[in-house]
Amino acid sequence: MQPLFLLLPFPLHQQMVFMFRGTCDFKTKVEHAVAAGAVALVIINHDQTRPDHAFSMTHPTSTEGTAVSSDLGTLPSPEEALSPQIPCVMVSWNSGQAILEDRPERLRLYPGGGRPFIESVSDESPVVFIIHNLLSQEEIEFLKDSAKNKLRPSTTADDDVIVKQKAPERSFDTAYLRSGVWKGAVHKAMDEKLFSIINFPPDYFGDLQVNRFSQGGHYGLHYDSDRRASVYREKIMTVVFCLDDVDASRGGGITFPRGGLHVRPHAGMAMVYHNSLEDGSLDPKSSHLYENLTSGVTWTATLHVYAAPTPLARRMLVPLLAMLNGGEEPGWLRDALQWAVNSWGADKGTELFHYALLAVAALAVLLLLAAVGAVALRSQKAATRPKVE
Amino acid sequence: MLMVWAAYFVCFGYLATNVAVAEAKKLTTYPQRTNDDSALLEWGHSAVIHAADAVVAQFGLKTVDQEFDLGIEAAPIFARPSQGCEPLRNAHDVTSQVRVVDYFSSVPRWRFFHKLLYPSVD
Repeated sequence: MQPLFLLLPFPLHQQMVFMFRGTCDFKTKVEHAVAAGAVALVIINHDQTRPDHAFSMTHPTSTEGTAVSSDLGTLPSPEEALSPQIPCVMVSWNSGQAILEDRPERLRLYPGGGRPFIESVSDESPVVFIIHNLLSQEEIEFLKDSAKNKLRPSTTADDDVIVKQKAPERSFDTAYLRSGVWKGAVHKAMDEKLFSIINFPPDYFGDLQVNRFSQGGHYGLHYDSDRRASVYREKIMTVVFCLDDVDASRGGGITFPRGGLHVRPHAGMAMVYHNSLEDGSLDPKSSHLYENLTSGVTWTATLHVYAAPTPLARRMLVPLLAMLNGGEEPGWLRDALQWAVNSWGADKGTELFHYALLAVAALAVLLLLAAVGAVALRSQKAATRPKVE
Repeated sequence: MLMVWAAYFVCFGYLATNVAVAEAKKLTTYPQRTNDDSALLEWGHSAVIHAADAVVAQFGLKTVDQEFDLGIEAAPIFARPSQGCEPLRNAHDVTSQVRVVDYFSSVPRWRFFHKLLYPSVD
């Protein structure tokens, strides 16, 4: 006897057709997929020079298509437009290869909605990509609230203590969230999300730097890392979290002039760029600037990802020292690190400095315990001493 | 004098070329993608799930269309020829068959109502 659910229309063999991009126009591909009865068409981008790149196919009669959705001039007229009643999507070369290798029996295709997704901006120097919808509104508010009472004008002292580069012109307020191992739940969740995408664990992250640009705010052309100087840890990657929407009329975008790239901030997105080339040398095209903001206020947060994990001593002790110093890393600490690097070199000096920091902290704890013990002993003796009339 | 003029023209030409190159370097603005063109291809089982970003074309079903919005699950098949520029040779493997089984005409009606009343009895 047949089951009751067979009363419903029941597709028995649904197939999602995969094709490679190239050779003919999208219209031909779509027509052949529809004629074959496909329920969806997936085009694998054949561009191996940009293996993570995929774009929204706009012109069904174009082989190459165009990635510029705002360029209405390239859209076909309604008569020319192709309206297949199946979804047509493109995946990057790398994604296509992953599917080809896995040979899954079933695939599910659904709208991304508000999920984080990656847009590849540039696969070559400078390597830049955008993570859409990375931050929730709650996380954006958390960053702004955590920083607003610590903001102060950014100065050259905010640059890496070891890096010797010409100080870029700047006009914005900044605050460091030096949390180290004492991060709260929201901050930890943000780190984990980022880790799942960029594949670097939070130990490699520096302190979050929250920046507020007011009218006239800008940050001149600069590099984030300069390996030609004796850096003790290389900043291999920078993540810029955008906390506000900034429309084009207000300026305030981030530009890589040598790379020919311009990024317009949207609330919740993060822009990730590499500061160095594959051989570890500085990427000359990674120089970038923050355009002049002509009106209003906008916030960003910057996180550097280092080539080596941040030492435990630093993650534990610097936040505590900063808390005692009004949220700022004490100047003497930076000077001491600079002196250690000058004396013993970048690697050895940094290592010795952090061992010394741990030793001093341990000594301080021991002294504190001794003092508490001494007070307790004295008060006990005073209590047990017979009173003399 | 001739040398001075020659040097002047060489320098002027060099500078003009460089300025032109600098101006010709247009900036491409990002992001170019939006939530509306974002889709997810997912495969695997509950233990290991793989996912890939997909970009929805500006033709065909949109993410807001109900058929797409509900999600589509299907078996993948790779077109032959792989670029799909000719009618697919493996079209017979692709065919989406939608079959409506008319239960009323296939069994006596009394058995249908009997089954509703006594589902455990075959």
